[in-house]
Amino acid sequence: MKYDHLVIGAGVSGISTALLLARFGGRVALLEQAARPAPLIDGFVRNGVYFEAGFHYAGGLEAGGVLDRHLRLLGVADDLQRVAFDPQAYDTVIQPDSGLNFSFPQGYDALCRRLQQQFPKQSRAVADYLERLRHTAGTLPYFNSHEAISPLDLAALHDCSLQQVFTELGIGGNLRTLLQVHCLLYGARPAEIPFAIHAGVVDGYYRSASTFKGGGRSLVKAFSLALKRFGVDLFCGCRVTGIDLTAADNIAGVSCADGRQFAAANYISSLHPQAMLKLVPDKAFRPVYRRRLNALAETTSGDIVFLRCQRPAGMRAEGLCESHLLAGHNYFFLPPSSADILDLTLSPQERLLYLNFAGSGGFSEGRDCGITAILPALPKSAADNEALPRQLYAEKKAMIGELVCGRIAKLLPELAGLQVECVATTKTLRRINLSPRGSLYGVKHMVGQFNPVPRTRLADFYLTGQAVAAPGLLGAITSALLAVAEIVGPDQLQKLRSEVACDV
Amino acid sequence: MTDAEVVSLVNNSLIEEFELEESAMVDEAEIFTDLGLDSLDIVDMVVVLEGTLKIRIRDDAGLREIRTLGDIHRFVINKKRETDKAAESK
Repeated sequence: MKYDHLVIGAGVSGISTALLLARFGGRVALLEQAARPAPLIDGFVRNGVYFEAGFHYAGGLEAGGVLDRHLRLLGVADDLQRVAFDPQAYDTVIQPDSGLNFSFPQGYDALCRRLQQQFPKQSRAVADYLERLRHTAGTLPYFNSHEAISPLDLAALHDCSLQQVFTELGIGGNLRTLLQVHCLLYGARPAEIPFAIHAGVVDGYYRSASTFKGGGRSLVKAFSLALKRFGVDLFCGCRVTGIDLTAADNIAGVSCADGRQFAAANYISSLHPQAMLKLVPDKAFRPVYRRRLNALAETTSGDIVFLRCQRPAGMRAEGLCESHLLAGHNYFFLPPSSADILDLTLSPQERLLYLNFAGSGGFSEGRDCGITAILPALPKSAADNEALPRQLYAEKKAMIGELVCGRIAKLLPELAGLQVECVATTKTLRRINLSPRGSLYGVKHMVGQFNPVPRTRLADFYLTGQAVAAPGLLGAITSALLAVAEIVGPDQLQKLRSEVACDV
Repeated sequence: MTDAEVVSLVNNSLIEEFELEESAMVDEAEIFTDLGLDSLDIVDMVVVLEGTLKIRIRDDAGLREIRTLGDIHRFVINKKRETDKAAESK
């Protein structure tokens, strides 16, 4: 069968691309090598408790927020129910050595007030910084452009780092520490991340932090329903092994491991750029382009510990005492104040540790709660784990679990007695995320680096995926919008946006 | 580095990285027609030129005015001189 569009990879960006192209009336095939769509954002159930794996919380989901608008455009919003994180304390930051203990409230105004109370001497810098962040996010060409963005304009936009902005505004000390904790949302250090990308990611969370009722799993369900509704042909268990070219260097079709072949008018890859290169004959791209994609830096990797928690009698930290509920909170345990926030060479005892209590978006009475803890790690350590004998690897996993439990028990004694349900390592990430070095988000966005854009030299072949825009749910959907704008034209996409906005 | 050396270095890099024909490397060659580059290639051209000559041109408005191979040569020779001068005065 001949399709109008063939999308490789049914993660969030691939699914979003397929849905949008189908909304424009195209016949779309979506190929996924896993047995089910969007495996990375799905959670899992172990001994009766639901755990989040790749989806923890999202920003900008409030009515009219950037992610809310994106989900409406994809036709999935009506199948999802937003559950807000604690309005007064969705992210709590604890730095043992400096005594820093701060909870982020939802909303720019509340955040500004609380930061100014805590840092009266830097009151002006707080206001300036938040205004700059909001303005930068509000004017990003990703979300606002009605025309294709040139790669050079993108490079200019990405030329200033978060650290440079801190220096420029005179932001230092604990205030700087707090404003950079969200680096874990994109896996790059403050000196690396372009301020524009930081702003685009963080702005949504500063406005609102939420999950969905039913967690990441409900998002997978909503996507699956929409794929059916819009008539996208989803092929799971279908691993693309090659993109075949004609003698004239046009795409003839794609071949899959099971022998199936597909042909379409347009092809869109949502794979890691380096995985994509392996599918395309060398002659399709110039050596310099292949070298650039192969040299793209990788985001941080991490070990993930899944913990079972019995509902504690009371919580000490601000904001939790009244709610009784664990769900709707994150904790960031910070490294010593002398260290870089995302210094992955620190010992696991000192390294940044993130705890996510999303629950399944509604923590029910009398049931244990699943907590996800992420300990960032160097991407290369995936290779180290690969080399470990089975027994040693199991011991290493047990050690990571114990270590994480120990750190939590020390800083949040109410949570003592957590049980380790299972541990995923950088090796697991390599296997599941299919990113060559087992990173959390795939390719990094960093100052001085040119990430790929959707259009490629190969006719009718486009790229989408977080490498093209930004990490996270928002980044993945944005990358789909960029690819689709390239295929159908920015005007058409804008028209669809207006129509959907009118329906609300 | 003399101007002729810069030109030769630039040409060789472009031939290798963009798989161009040596015979096509004449001053009047239009980059978008005669050399077959397109707007996407500009980013990679910037990467190659910056890396080869140790200069920074990505944020230079002059980049957008480039039409021919000769324009590239004149642009990077100027840039290289500026860069070397700035390095000397430090």
